[in-house]
Parts: sequence; structure tokens; C-alpha cells
Amino acid sequence: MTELKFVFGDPRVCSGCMTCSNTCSMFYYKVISPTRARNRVLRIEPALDFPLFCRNCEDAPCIKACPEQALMRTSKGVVIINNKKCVGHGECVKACPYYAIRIHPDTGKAFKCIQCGQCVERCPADAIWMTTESELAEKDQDGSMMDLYEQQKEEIYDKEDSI
Amino acid sequence: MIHGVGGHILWVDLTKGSIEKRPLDEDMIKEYLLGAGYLSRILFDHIPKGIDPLSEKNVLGMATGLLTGSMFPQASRHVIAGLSPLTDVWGESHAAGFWGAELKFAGYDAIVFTGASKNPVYLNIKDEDVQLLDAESAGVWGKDVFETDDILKAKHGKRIRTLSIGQAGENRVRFAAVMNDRDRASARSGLGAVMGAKRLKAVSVRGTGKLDVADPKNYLKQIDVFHKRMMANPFTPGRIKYGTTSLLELMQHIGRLPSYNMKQGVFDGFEKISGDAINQNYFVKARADFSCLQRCGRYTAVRTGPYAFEGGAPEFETQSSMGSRCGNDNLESVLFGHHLANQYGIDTISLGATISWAMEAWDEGLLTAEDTGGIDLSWGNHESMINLTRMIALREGFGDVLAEGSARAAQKIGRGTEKFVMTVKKQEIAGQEPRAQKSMGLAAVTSARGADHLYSFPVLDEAGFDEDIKERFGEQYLPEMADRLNPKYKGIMVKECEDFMVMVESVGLCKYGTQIPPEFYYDDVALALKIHNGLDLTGKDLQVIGERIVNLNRLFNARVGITRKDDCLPDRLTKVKAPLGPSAGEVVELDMMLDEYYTTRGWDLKTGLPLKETLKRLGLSRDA
Amino acid sequence: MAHVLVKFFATVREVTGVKSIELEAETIGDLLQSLVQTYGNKFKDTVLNNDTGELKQFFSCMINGRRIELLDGYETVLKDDDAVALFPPVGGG
Repeated sequence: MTELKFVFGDPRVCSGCMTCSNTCSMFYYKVISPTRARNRVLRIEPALDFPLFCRNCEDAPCIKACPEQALMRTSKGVVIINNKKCVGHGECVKACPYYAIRIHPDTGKAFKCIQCGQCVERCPADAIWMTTESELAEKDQDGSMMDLYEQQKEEIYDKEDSI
Repeated sequence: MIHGVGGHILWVDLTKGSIEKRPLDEDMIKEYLLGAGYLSRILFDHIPKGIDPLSEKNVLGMATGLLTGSMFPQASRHVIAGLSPLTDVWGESHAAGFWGAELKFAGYDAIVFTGASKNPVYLNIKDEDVQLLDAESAGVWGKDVFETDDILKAKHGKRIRTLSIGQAGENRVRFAAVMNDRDRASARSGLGAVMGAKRLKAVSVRGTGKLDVADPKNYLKQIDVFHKRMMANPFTPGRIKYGTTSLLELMQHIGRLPSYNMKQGVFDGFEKISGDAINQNYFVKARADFSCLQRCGRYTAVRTGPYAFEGGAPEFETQSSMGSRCGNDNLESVLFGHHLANQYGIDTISLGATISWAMEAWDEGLLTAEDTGGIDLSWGNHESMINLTRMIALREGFGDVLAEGSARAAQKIGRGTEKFVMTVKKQEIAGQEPRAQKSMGLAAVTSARGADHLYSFPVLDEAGFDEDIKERFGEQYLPEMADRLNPKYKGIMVKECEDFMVMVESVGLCKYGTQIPPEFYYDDVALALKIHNGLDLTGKDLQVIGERIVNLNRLFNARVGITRKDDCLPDRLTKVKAPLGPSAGEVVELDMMLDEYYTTRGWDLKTGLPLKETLKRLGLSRDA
Repeated sequence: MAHVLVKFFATVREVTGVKSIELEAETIGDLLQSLVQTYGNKFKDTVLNNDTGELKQFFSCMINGRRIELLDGYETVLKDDDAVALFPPVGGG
């Protein structure tokens, strides 16, 4: 299997402008609404802006968690949600360690980043990239970027205060 | 139906504690847009003549623009307006951040506060759920801006966006700021003191709604064009790298850097407080506001010593006001001073300018340790400046005198200190030594909110925009209009820039990207209003709306007695030649520029007030 | 030939690596050419328009605080001790 792709960003470079989220909600839902974007952007003081996306985990706990079998991985390696099967009870949301799947406030169904790359094209800070685990390790050789995600995980993956 | 907006205005009666949701008045939008223009109309109609700005009769407005929350570059801005306690005339102030967009996502475009609460309150908005809550039991009254943000986030959820005053606003410091998103400031006009007088501590917002744009099919395609233009503009790389901090060296080089209370326009220590000095030792990150591509926001840190902090700071205005203006070349104190001003919620321009007034009076022997309670006010004494910042916010000792602003403080002290007051209509002149750029001298005088560079922001003569002058005005105005030292055509330029800038402030865009660099002009904004809001307005329509707003602001001021006699600069700037530097020998030829300005505006030369036919043309006859 | 001081600012300073240089030149045009010789292609690409050899849009060259456009442009004759400044696009308040 080719390596799984996902979008990832550097919280030290991201300026927090939310162009990625706005692009996403406009591209998919024809509105501007961070709540309806498939990613999230969080500003954490001091001076960190986390652009957060589906990490496309190899073991994909979201797929296993769904009792309706609404989630599946496509031949290109993207985890998608079958809207016909999804009933929005949120087991996938609970299972995702990154809070990268949420329930859409209008449709009541799960939605997530599907690695389309529309946001990557438009990031004015070049802070986000379509990447893979091995590419990322290469980019972040001293591990300082991943450390920031680790240090802030309580904050950035907190599902309590989503809406 | 207007798209891309929240759709409602909140009317909050603080005396009764009642909240009413009113739909946006679409007819008014066609005359005044939203933001500054919409508030200009509402407040003209609701603020009675002859009231004390700190009484419950003042009305305080907060509004987003038509494009705030859109994807247009830098569509992040909101405006606060009311009768100013600093100037006693029209007061408005603008900031970027995320609060404005969040308010829109919650379904509101503006909030109007009338009356005054008996006990301290704050307004909490969670979509449809809007409540006035007790600020004392929530533990935010008496707290600074950062603490207030922390406490309200702990209480209402960490995704809320807050706008609040610090201690300075609570204590009615006449140049108190309204802060949002921690370090964004609506600083000028002292409207933080109006919040304090109304006992309104904060407005916290969480909006989970959406903006449905008018042309979703073509939206991203057109936004991509705007984004590419902004990113390709030659100014953008420098803006990202330096924010506005690199201006300091330019200003030194043209003799426009206010130094020693504006005695002169050059400062020997300029390199120590320059943008390069900041980038070398203190810069952490460039930060953006909502939809902002240029990210001029600075995040800096001083790691050790008495001035250790980290946070959002600074920009050019503070480098000049807390630096050169006070003869202070200690950069760490300038950065820390800015941070402290954010924390207490104070306008750094009036803060630095008021302290520099006191420093000159001290230097001249007119103020002594007896007046200051032992504080040494020698030029460049940064320890005293930092102490005074705290004392002003808390109104302690001599800080209580300075908290009134330099004009009132000089009136109280007397002894000839009045001649060192560098204000227009009691507001301190910002970081533009006008003898080195004549248009800025005129702009400070004509601005509706008292001394101010932003109402007109006439930067086209600053470092050379000959092509833009040719496009906007015509070749016949060159070279004079592009020459910062030549007063000719500056009345025409300032008028044109005012019309454009108030329009920009009414759609929620930034002056960076519209005026400097002059990338987007009327027709671009008209196109954005079409795809986002579905409004069919031409560039020419927008210009007339801008003109209408400026005239209405003037009528507001005429009602409190303002005429041509008030449109004046301190003698130092019109009668005393600049002593040093590249603009040595210059004065501001104000009268001749004013004549040209009033003529261009269709205002009476003697009174400086709009002529009947001007008001008629703009549909303002009933307001005179 | 006049002996002048040339100062560099912000992003121009980044390509020259120094804040200022003293040199001899007759006119601003000459001066820009000697700067290209001294600082090479990186300076040229940053500051000058390849087609015209003149300053790129929004770059400012000032002599004693006055923009050359308001003097004699690239033909402006320099005198001893003139202070010349080169700014990248910068402005505002």
C-alpha cells in the first residue's frame, strides 16, 4: 500500500488567519463558517496557531467504531463517510483521538477532511502541506514541531468545547 | 435580501437591563453601508446634544462591516463609536481580530448600548442566547484585559472571543481603549471610558452560524484573484517580515518621526528602537487576524530583566509614542510599555504623547517633583514611563492628572504648560510630525475624531505613489501632490482619502491593502460587495456614500459647536520651523490647505461647515 | 564625482548585508550601477527592474530625505556629503 496522505501544518508558521477553514466551508458547503469547515484552527498562547486536520491514521479507529459501517477507506487511501449510512450518533467522533471528525450542525451527519488539498493551495503562510508520516519525519527532524502537538494535546483535541 | 451578514442588531438598554434584537435596516445600508457609516447614522440620531460623554445618555455602538467575516483580504475589522470623553466630539475607533467575525457568525452585525447599568455587567452572546451577566460575581470587574479573557473563557468555553476594557476603562481614563482578542485595540477616542461609565466590562461572543454569500458559485474563484493580487503586491513581503515596525527608519529619514514631544522630527536613538532591532532580538512571530494575508501583527518577547513579557506588540505608533516622542531609546521598555497598555486597556498614542507633554514641561522647569509626587520626568526616563502607565490606569497620584489627557492636564496645571500640548480637539496627534508631511497636518485637523492620521490616512505623498495619484486624480496634480513638503493639492488629496477610508471602515476592511499599499480601490470593493452581499453598488456609489458619512460626522461635530476655529494645530507646528533633519525649516501651511479642503468638500470657507447644496446633494438636508 | 553615503533599509539591507556604504558617483544612475557592481545580482534582482534598469515599483531612492522623482530622477547630480537612502516598499502610519 502506498503511504497514506494527510494535511499537516506547523503551528509556529501558521498565522491563524483561518483561510484554510473558510476555503473548506465555502468549497463544500457554500458558506463561510469555521464550524462547518472540515478542519479547525486554534490559537494557543503563547504564539501558537494550530491548523488541525484528519491525520489519516493507518488503523483508523473511526472506521472500526461505526456500528453502521458508514466509514470506509477508498482505493486512494482516503477515509470517507457514506452519508446514506451515517445516522450521526457520533461513535466515530468519540473514537477519533484528534477530534478530526465532528457532526455537521446542518446535516446531523459526520464530516471530516478528505485530503482534497484546496486549503493547501490557498494558505498565505505556506504553513500547511499535503504530506505523509515519513515525509513529515523528514521535515521535522529534530521533532520540535511534533513536540508542540504533544505538549498541547489536551487543549487542541478537547471535544468538550467544540461548539 | 442582503447576504453575507448576521442580519440583526442588538439594542441593549443597560439601565433597564433589556435586550432587543432588531433586523438590519437594509435601506440604511444602501445609504451608509455598515460599520462606521451605519453607526454614524444611528448615533447621530440617538445621541442628544450637550450631554456628558460619561453620562448614561451617551450611546455606544459596536459594529462590523459588510465584508467582516468574508474571505476578502483583511476582512477582520469592527468599529466602536460614541461621543468621545477625550474630545467631546465624534469618537470612533477600529480594530481587527476575530471578535467581529465571531459576532457575525452568532447572527449579529452590530450592538448598540444605551443607558448605564447600576452594577457592573458584561454581555455574553452564544448564538441566539444573549444575556447581560453580573461582572462582579463572574470575577472580571477590576481585572485586566488578559485576566478577563482567561476568566470568561473558563466560564463560557475556550472558543469564545472577548472584547473588554481593562482597569483604565473602569477608571474612566479619558484615553482608555476597548480591547479585543487580548491584544487588538480600538484605542483612540477614549471609548473604553464610556464602557467603564456604563459599567459594561466585556462582550464575549461565540457564534456557530454561517455567512451565506450572494454568489457561492463564483466566490472562491474571485477571492483567489483578490488573494493573488494581495500576495503579489511588492509591499506584502516587507509587511510580513516587519509589520509596521520598519516605518520607524523611513520616518527618521524623512524627518517625520515625532521626537521630544514633537519639538523635532528626528531622533538620535532611532536605530535602537527600529524594526531591525526588534526582529534581531525580540521577534517571535507574525500573526494574522481573520482573513488577513499580510499578517502585520507582531508577537514579541523580552526574556529577562524588569521588562520581561511575551505578547502582541508593538507597531510603529508605539515605537514612536513610547520611544522617540519621550526621548526613550530603551527598546525593552517600549515593548513592555505597549504590552502593559494592552493589559490595562490604554491607547498607546495618547499615553506616550501625554507623558511626553509632561516631560517637556519638566524639562522646562514648569513641572516639578512636587507635582509628580517625586517621579523624575527627564527625557528618556523609561522607569518613570512604566510607573506612570500603571498609575494612569489606576488613577494613582500624578497618574490621575495624566489620565485626563494632556489638554485637560495642562489646563489644570497651567503655568504655561499649555503650549506644549500637541493635540487637535484635545486628542493627541499621532506619530506623524506634520511639518515633514503637510498632508498629515491637514488630516489631523479635518479628522472627525480629533487629531488622527487614519480617518484620511493620506499616505500617497509619503514615499511616492505617483502612479496611483495619476490614476485617482489625474496627471495634472503631479508633481506637487506627490511632494510631502508642498502644501498644494493636499486639500484635494485629504478629501479624497477621507471619503475612501470611511467607506473602507464601513465595509470592515483594513487600510493596509486599500490605502497602503493601494492595491484595492472602489471598484474592487464594489465587486466584493456584489459577490459577498449581493449589493449592486458602483464604485461611484461607494464614493458618494463615503462623502455622505464624512459630512454626517461633520454635522455631528457642528452640533457640539465645532467650526473652522477648532480645525487648528498647535502653534509649534504652524509657526515654529522644524529645527533639525531632512525637513528642517518647514512649517505646516494649514490655512491654505484648509481653504482648498473646504472648497473641495463644498463647505463654507468661514465656518468650515457643509453648504446647503452639499447637504442636499448627499441627502442630508434634514440633518443640518 | 561626489563622495556620498548610501544607506540601506529593511529588505534592501538584507541583500547588501550592511547598513551603509560610502562611495563616489556622479549621478543617481551611476550610483545604482556601482551598487550593482558591489553587491551583484541579488541586489540587482531585488531592487531594479530588469527591463528598464530603474527602481522597481514602490522602491524609493531619496537624497537627503527627498525622493529622486521630485528632483531630476536618475539624472540627479550628487554633491559631496549627500545622504542617499534606498528603501523597499514601506509606508503607512
